Amino acid sequence: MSRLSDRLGKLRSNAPAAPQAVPVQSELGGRMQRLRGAASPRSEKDDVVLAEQLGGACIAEGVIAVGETLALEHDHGRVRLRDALATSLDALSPGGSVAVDELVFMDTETTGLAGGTGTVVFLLGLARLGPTGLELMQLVLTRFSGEAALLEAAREWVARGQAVVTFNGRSFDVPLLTARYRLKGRTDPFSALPQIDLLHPTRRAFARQWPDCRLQSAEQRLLDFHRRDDLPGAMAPQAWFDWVRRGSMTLLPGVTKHNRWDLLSLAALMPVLENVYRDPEAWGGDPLAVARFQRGRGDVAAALAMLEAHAHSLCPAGSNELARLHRDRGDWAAAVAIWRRLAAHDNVEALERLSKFYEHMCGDFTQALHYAERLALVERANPAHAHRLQRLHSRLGRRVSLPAGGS
Amino acid sequence: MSLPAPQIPEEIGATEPDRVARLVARLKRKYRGRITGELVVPARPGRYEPFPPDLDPRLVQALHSRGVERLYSHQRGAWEAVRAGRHTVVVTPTASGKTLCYNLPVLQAALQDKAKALYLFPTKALSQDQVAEILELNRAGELGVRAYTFDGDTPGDARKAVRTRGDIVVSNPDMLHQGILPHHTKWAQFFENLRYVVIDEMHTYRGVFGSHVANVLRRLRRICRFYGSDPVFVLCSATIANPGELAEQLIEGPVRTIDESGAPQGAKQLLLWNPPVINPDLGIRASARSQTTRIARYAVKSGLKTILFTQTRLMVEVLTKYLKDVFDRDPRRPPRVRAYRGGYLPTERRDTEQKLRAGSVDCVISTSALELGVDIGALDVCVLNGYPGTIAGTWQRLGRAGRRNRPALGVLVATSEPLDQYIVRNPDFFLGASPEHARIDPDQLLILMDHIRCAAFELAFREGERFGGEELSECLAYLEEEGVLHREGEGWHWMDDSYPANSVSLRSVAEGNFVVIDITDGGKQVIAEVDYTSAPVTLYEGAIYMVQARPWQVERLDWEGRKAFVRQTEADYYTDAIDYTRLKILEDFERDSAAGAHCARGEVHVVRRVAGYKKIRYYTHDNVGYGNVDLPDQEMHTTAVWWQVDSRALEAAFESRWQALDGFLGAAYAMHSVAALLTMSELRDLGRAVGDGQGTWFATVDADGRGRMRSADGEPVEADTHGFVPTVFLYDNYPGGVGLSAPLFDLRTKVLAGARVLVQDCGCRHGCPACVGPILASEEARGGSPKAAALRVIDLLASGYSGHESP
Repeated sequence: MSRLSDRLGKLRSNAPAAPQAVPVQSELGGRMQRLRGAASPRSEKDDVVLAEQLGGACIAEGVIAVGETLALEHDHGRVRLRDALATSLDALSPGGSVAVDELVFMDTETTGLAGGTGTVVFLLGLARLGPTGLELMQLVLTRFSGEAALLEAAREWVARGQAVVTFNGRSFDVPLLTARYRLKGRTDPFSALPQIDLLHPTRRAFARQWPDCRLQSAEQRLLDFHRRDDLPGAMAPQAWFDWVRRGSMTLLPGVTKHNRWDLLSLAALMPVLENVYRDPEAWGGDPLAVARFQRGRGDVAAALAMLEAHAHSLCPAGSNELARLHRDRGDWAAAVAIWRRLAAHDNVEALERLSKFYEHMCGDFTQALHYAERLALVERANPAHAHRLQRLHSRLGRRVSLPAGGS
Repeated sequence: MSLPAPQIPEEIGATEPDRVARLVARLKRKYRGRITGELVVPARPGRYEPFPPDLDPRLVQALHSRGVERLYSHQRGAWEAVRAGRHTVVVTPTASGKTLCYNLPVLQAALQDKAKALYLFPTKALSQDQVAEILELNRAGELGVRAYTFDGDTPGDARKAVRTRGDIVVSNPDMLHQGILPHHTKWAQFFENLRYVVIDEMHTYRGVFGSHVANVLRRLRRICRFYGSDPVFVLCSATIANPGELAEQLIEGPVRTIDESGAPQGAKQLLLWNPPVINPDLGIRASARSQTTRIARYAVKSGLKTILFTQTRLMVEVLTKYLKDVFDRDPRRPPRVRAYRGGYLPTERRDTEQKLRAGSVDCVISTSALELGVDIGALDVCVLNGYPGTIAGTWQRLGRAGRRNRPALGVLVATSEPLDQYIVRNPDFFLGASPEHARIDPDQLLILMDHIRCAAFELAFREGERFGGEELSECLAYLEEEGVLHREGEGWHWMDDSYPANSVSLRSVAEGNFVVIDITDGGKQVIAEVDYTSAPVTLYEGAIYMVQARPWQVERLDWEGRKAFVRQTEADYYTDAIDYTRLKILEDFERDSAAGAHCARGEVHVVRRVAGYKKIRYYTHDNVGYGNVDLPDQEMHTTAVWWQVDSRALEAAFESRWQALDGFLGAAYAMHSVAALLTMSELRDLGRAVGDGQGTWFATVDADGRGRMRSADGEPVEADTHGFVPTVFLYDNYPGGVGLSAPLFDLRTKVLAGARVLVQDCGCRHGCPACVGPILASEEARGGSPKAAALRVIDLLASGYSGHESP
């Protein structure tokens, strides 16, 4: 041992220092553990003590389950869980009919954010909503050998689920779990289920309004929920390493608490996001983004209603979107009214639309030319405008020479 | 390219023999005295075999439609070996149809058994060529086999399709190391069905890079075992002395070697060329550069497609400028001369490759970058500006001329370096020498530990598992102590929040490339990339940096940010860095000493510093100025062999200290060349220095050609009489060493004997670049001969220890 480290030490003596073996030793528990000589392999008894600390029980070798049911009257920030149960999923789910009580809420704590097969899920938080309340199940890994049992316990728990609700789970939690199941030679129950990743609707509605769209930002702004004494997510790996290496139980309860809040926020966000999609402005959201989403899903009526309801406060891009929707259903008068209003401020798209409208719909080349000329002034460099001017000039010329019916 | 096409060459090549022969005759007539050796390799007919009877009819159809009616004998041999499930290495010349050796068994298995294959090429460019070729066969035979590249350029949304649907995935070792193995679960289906792993350009996997790649392959096989597969490896290599051995080291298993090419070969002529002596006293010859441009001018004017190889990127630019000055004077016409080297952006390189294939470029000037199997079509003449450093490398570059049965000419132009001079003065040595051994050291401790880390991340290690030549449990225990692994029962688990593959670069110790950013006209455009090791000698502030012979000047170097900001300029000079090295001995491993002198091998600390640069005017090559450079030192620990003489013996042999110093510098210069030749490594793989072993002083050759002692800060010092123990160091030029110092120590007497012959038999009077290094005209006036001093030092070094044999 010492021979190898000597050799490496010499080869490296000029390289940057290797990572420190012993992490921060601030907490008393860890120091006590060390004094008691807890560096030796931990026993089943340690798991029992940890389970007590976390308020759970050992369900298999290396796995602690922490279960809890919160009544429907429980308030998470401004949301009562009963409201979550009443959420209509139309705005959030990608389609299909899933009932709220068939959802599985899921959030993991891992040994790192880098991904790859060396990243372990050491805490798998699950929850489901039902008539009795929100049922939580946190599965905690106490040693590597418990992983297969943890994954199997999770499979049983989600067996009845019809969709998974996560926050950024589509690109992080679910692929990571898939890798863990694959490593154990098992099929994974999560990736087969439809996914409702609440990050996406949140980002859609608020990306331009908020500095970031992390879960905790959403929870503060939409749920008015503010965590107190939360263990930062970045500390989670260290908490588990301290436990596994030295039997320190100091930080792990903080991780389960953090994860529990994440799960609660997932459930509570659903009814709020539903409201956001109904009335974005009331929540400081972006009606245009929501309307575009609705149009993208083929729900033109909802998109139109959304933009009409906010017509007074829309940005130019929003107004143009609304005008396009009017045009698409043949309501040219409404569209032209909007374009005229925008054209007064030299809006390029509106000028172009008007020029086209007068040229192709009305055959009014004079009006068309008027808007085309303004357009060419606003966007001098665009060769398409010059082309349009030329065409209109020649059409007008022909029209003058053939007043009877040139087109 | 790589398909046998026996019927084509005779037709295309109809007029070429005359042109090449005329050029050779002309060169011989005008420059007889400069040609020191000549070799004519006669044309060789092809040896053919019919298609194997079990070849899938769809493949037969695809080959027919591309005009292939039979196979070369080595292609058939490879088919039999690979189909029999044996690891196989194929060693045949450029353009001998190597790719069919692996494409046929791979496509057959994909068609008949849905088996998968992984192709590894050393560069992305080669991967793309390869996929293009498979797709062509695929189309020709409507095979429906899916081949995709998977590398850093593969878009995120395409990756899943590659992983799950690719029959053949074409990638590179770096991507396997950082992108595939650490995410192996995503590739589960691929690994479960992986039947073949193809490793082309195997000869590039030597030294540090090869040692890393051997470990990546250890990891690959470990992952395959996890998924229950055991792929057959098919390797292809240019000529080296030990292809079978290298292949076996890389994949750690028995390998069948196929090294008899059945492909026909056109006649080849090789000339060894020594520039004329222009100052007999100083032994100074005309520059290789001037000769190379002259030969290239003749060749291009004769209508022959020509490639020039140089040793450095800088020389690529200088030669490109000289030839553009001749052939590309009219900017309105498409350029006839192009440069090609590492550091150019991929688009620029692809463009040059395409133009070469299309025949619209007449002359290309390149570094070793074009030595690989990049498809650039047929060339007629190849001129090497300087000996590439290895026999294998020389033949590989010469192989660029004379593809497809055409007669070809190669010219090796010697520089004034001792190795070059040795080669052209002893043509029989070169023409008869076997190519070098490719050496790797997969168990080099730093490299091995890097990959044990990565492997532990990929899959927990189990008790009793094996990985590499060190005691694995000891390595794992070390990593546990370091805090990245955790032992639990029978297993060792990764327990850290990092992704270890990201901090391990296969190519070097390099910490990231530098980008060169053009800020002319207020823009910010990346025009090139420079690797970490080259950056200090090419991107210092004030340096002239060239791309396609257009000069930019470095205005600011952001060392931390790995960026160099450059502006276009009109310089009539280029710049060359001045760097020096000092060493400190840390520990002896072994030593051989007796009265007065000794030789030892051990651990050293090396500091390299770029102190300044010279400005060199084009064409005249006058030194027109100096500049200072302020850059961080490059430090490393490695192993070295060193030779010392006791101060008393030294005092008796030399009147003055500076004479002794001249002797040591000259001896070191000669020993370095001989050591490179004897250990069959490249000069740059071995570092050279003269100092005192404690790092208190080291010797440099000053602008006046005289040896000078300098302190650790580079200030000149006058050592007192105490403790003047000059030491010649030859060190393994890689952190930790890659195993060069042990064979070098074993060869210690031969190094001295060879150096003595090199210096003594040199035709110069007082020393020259071909033996003890360049000297100045004032040497005689100074009353000493560096050559005599070097000989005296070599004799002193050789007299001391027990292993001494008279030369």
